[in-house]
Amino acid sequence: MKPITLKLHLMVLLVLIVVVFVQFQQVQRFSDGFFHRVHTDLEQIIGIDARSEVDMLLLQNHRVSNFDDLTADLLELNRLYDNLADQLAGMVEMRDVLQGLKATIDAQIAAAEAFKSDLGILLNSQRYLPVLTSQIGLQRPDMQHMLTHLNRDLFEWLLEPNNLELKQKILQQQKLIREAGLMRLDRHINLLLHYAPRIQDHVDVVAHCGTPEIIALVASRFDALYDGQLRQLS
Amino acid sequence: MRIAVFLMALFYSGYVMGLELSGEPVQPITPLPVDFRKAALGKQLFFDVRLSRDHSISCAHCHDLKERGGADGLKHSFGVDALEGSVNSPTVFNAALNFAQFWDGRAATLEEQIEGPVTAHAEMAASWPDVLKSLAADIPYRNDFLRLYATGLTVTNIKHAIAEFERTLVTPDSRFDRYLLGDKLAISAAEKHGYALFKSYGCVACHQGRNVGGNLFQVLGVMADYFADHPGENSTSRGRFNVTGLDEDMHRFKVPSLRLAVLTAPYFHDGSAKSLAEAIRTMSKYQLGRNIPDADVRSIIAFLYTLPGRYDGHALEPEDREQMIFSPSTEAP
Repeated sequence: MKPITLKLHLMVLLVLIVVVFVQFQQVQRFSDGFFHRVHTDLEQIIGIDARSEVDMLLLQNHRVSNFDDLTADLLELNRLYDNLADQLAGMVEMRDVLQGLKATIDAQIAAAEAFKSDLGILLNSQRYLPVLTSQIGLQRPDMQHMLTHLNRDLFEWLLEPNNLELKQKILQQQKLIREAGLMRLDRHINLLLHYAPRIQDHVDVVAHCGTPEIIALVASRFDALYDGQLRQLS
Repeated sequence: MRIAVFLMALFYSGYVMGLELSGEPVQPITPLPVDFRKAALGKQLFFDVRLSRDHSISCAHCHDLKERGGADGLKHSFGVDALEGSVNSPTVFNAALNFAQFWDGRAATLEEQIEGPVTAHAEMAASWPDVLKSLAADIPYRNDFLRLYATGLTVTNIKHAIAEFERTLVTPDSRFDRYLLGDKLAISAAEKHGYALFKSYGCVACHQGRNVGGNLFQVLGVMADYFADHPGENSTSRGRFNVTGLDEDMHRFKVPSLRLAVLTAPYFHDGSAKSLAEAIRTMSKYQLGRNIPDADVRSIIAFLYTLPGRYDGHALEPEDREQMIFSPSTEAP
């Protein structure tokens, strides 16, 4: 045998060994345990996604007064995604849906983090407003009537932030506040008007960011790949 | 019989009170699950100067566990060659309970955080290959790593061991935690009043949970421009903006834990507040937009003294009350 033919044979043999090795790895990967682990992660992500929404609603409704549960759930969401991405690493066909899932989780976490921060600010101004208006009312009896109305209107608007007519009324009252040089009160009114709708927006983002939908996409893509591999192997 | 009834009544009243307080914004600390053999190895590393470039300082240099509540008591810390760092060292106690590490939250885990100080120019200024080389020359160290980690002495395992030790640095069983768990007499009436004020002034909007902070980012300067009044700081003042590049994260910082606050002056990322009284006044101006009278500041500090728990069998709460002594405010009420 000529040396060149020998080299060619060796190369073909090498390619065959590589192909067998890759096939072996695929078989290892697509074991029942792998299928089960991926689906467990996906189910857990859906569970944590739902729980983080509940956490936010409980905080928004003052049924829970610290961020520990929400924070822990957001960390867990990230950990589960990393776990899933590790398991599916190397599966090119899964890359785009995994990127979609990552973007969704990032959006959810960003909204939930902003929610925590904004809620802290809103609650402080909400808490302080009656104190501040009554303090000013004592110093400025001429403004007492207007301050009482402002207090009431703001309270009502916080319960009903889509009431544009009420918001317009508050803005007119705020103009008077500014003209009277009550800058601290003006600042708190600004914060209330700014942060209340933002908080609702953050809740909406988390509720509608589409984690269950993208999870369904990841699951169906994975199942199709798994079925295909099983058919090939059999 | 009477004694048994009395004890049951006492237990029941504590149980009921514990239930009543289970919805409080501040919650008790519970110890974290830890591999104590790895933590013991991490403790050795924490105090090992070979983690610094010139073998002059260890992690404990900026995180004094005995005298300074896990911080160093300085405005900014000093690293190798006496280089001054750019931020105030936070306490390492209860850092494991924080949702992210560093003032700007750039490290998600304790393991990630360790990368920062070991290699930072103005801190330990070491390189991992050098650290590995000097630790590998220490046979007992190498054997310990081989015994505890399948992969032996590696950078990942060094970080894990130190992080594992840091997970032991939680401080449960504070007087306030005992109060939350139903021990009515664990804190005084004045301290309870301080807690009520802490809530009603709104400090609790950010400083809540088991770590009394450490679970959210917040902008510094909600009610007034802190940075206009404190010019001349370095780029670390940009806070989380340095991590995300988002405008809304400018001057946003991780809310620090207040668990060890009575021991860890000075305060804030820039170490600008020398005392708790000053820190509370600054927060009330820039975050809450209201004035807190001196008497109420004193009550809030009294409450903060109930928060340090125990570490290594010792109570961390100081016996003196030096933070309660401060000059009257010069601000108009």
